[in-house]
Amino acid sequence: MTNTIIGNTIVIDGEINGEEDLVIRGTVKGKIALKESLYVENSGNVEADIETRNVEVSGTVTGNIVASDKVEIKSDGRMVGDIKAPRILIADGANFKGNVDMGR
Amino acid sequence: MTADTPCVIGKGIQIKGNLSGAEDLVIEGRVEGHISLKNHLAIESTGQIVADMTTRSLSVQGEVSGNIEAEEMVEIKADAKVVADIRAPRVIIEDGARFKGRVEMDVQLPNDI
Repeated sequence: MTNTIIGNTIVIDGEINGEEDLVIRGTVKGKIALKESLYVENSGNVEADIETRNVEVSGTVTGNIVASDKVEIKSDGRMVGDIKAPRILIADGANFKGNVDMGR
Repeated sequence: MTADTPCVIGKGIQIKGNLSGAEDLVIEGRVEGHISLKNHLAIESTGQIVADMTTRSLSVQGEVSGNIEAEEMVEIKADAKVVADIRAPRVIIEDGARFKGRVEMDVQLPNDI
């Protein structure tokens, strides 16, 4: 299956829905709902509420994340918002401001 | 994955809203809204677009409904289904393509601007 890649210069303002992995290197504002994994890479900038299975943040995310499996904020990730997921990982060096809810 | 992989909107993805950018874009999924691109836009056979598009060049194999404005050219391939008004200096419609709409090849700016 082809991965969807939102490239560096791409700006999306609106809603993204999908059933496959999504890689964001550009800018997305609005709402993201996926059945698979979301990767926000270094150059990625997301201002959106996110509902997905997995999220990996190496870029910047502003918004709330609800994940059914795992949220990982990597060492160069920056995030402001609330996270709700059964597994939440925050790496050394990551910037994060918000609530963490592991639901147990 | 290298940095020069083209930007792809895959089969399982739906986007509603505005999409803009300055690189080549391949759409295999569904986009509703508005697309504005400085480079080439390719709509693959699984692509479904309900949007107004402004781009440098465009090639369509999938389904498009909306208005198209291209700086260079628009190519409607054999499998495409297009309902649109097209404005571009070069417009190519292949044998087998289904198209409904207006075609305007002379994009001349009015003298008073």
